[in-house]
Amino acid sequence: MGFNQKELLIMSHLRENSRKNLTKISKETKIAVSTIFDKIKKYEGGIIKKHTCILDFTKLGFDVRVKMILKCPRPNRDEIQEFLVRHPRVNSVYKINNGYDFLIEGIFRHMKDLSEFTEKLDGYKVKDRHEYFVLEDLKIESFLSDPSYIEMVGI
Amino acid sequence: MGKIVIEKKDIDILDILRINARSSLSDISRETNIPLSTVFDRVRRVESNLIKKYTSFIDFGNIGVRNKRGLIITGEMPELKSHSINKIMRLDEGRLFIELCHNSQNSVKEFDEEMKKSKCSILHDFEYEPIVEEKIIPSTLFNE
Repeated sequence: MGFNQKELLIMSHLRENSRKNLTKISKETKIAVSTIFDKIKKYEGGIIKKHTCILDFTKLGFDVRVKMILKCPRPNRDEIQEFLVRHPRVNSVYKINNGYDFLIEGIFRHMKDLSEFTEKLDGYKVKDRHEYFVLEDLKIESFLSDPSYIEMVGI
Repeated sequence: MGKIVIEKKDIDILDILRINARSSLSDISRETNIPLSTVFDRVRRVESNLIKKYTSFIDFGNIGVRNKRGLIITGEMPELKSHSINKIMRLDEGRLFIELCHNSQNSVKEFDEEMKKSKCSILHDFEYEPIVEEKIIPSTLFNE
């Protein structure tokens, strides 16, 4: 199932700002409010996974933001995944290829908070780990979030 | 980096916006027992200070994106115009993380050509699919 042009346009407005009201989307797309309402309702909980906000964790007191790539022993993989998904400091978990198993993003109050996490992770006998500290977001959730581009060329 | 004074009301409101950013002010008022006028002010406050962006997460498989692609690069920051770029993050030690959503071979080709023109080195290049994304609910950070 693919989107038609109207649906793509509506999605791009939600990607740009998921809190935009239906009247505004209607004005900018020339699609009737009722159609937009129906489309969003139809796709919510399925193709539209969630409407959310991206937080500034540093302003919440969590100064350390880390991306990690992990290589795990095969017998421990499911257990490690469970640990990562449940851990309160882990914000996102992805399954990756190319010789590694997981890409995660974690947020921590300070370096000691991060060390406590990595110590627990080491207990699972992770084979390899690369850590990268995130200093700044230069682009956030940009794909499919430019309605004027979608209007011009589709996808 | 400036920190604002965060109150429980702000966290309660953030929780709701994190779970469903399309919640109306009335919904938020009802769920938090915060008066509507206060919700109005507080939402504006958290938007200015604590929220980087409101967005919807879409299953991109429906438009031909099989998996996301991530690169970690170092060296001179390339000029990237590709519309398949979803995220760019500045990392430590002069590195960059780039997340891409390629929905066609053309999109891969276009991006790879942009990268060839640049003077950066690719440290990692991989594909990935989400298990869980942006899962942290703010109040859980303070339940310790």
